[in-house]
Amino acid sequence: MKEDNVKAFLNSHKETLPENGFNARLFNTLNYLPQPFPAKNRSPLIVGIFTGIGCLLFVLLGGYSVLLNGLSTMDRIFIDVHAITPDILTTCIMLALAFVALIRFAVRSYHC
Amino acid sequence: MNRKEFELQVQINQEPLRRFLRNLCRGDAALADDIAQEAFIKAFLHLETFGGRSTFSTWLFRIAYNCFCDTKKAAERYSPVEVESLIVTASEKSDQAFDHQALYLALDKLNTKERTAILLFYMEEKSLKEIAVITRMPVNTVKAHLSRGRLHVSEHLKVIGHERG
Repeated sequence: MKEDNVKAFLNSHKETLPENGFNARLFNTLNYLPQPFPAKNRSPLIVGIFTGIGCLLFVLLGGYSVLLNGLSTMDRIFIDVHAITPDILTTCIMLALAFVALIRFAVRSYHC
Repeated sequence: MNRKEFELQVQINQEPLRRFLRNLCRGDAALADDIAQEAFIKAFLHLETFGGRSTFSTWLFRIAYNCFCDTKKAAERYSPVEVESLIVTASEKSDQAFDHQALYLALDKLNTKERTAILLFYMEEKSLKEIAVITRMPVNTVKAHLSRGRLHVSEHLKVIGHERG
């Protein structure tokens, strides 16, 4: 009841303001200001640079062989938990992070 | 967003924004239009920062609310007593203020945060989430301000005999 009363009161006092040259004055002022430029989307460039760095590090640090070794020994994890070596753990974490980053980027790009 | 799209947004949003500011300034049309113009200019100069996470209207209202707070702070810094009386005097002089005196008197019972929440929710039909974005307050705080504001306006309406049912 209280809300209805307040709402009715405010609605009954809702003004319709005439434009009174407000837009013209504003647009005239805008003519003297620096014009806007479309925002540059730098994400593909940043993603490209970091992907390149990641690939370079992967090759230089012998990531391929570590990845293969890690993956080939993954079946042992389910049999014996003690078989998890730091290599396997790091590989799994890095792969998971890479997938999360890739999916996030894909979703964001889709929404933009 | 280019200049043409911005001009279209100005045409769509100028009335609700000016009305909100005018009510926030309790009828001082000149001050409200100055703040609205400042808000539009700031929005134009920072168009590239509009990321589209909220609607353009919400983004614009947020800029305008910040401009209002800055103006109020600056005015209070220079003459803490005169500002309030200046706004009341200006509103008394205005014809529109006379027509809407009951509204301004009711809004006078509220502090700035309550007034903002009440005006955005009931008059500009913004959602709680949008008000939270505009005022940079958590949704629960907005709810609290809205509730207190409603209570104060309701009490005032009782006093002036505007109560229904």
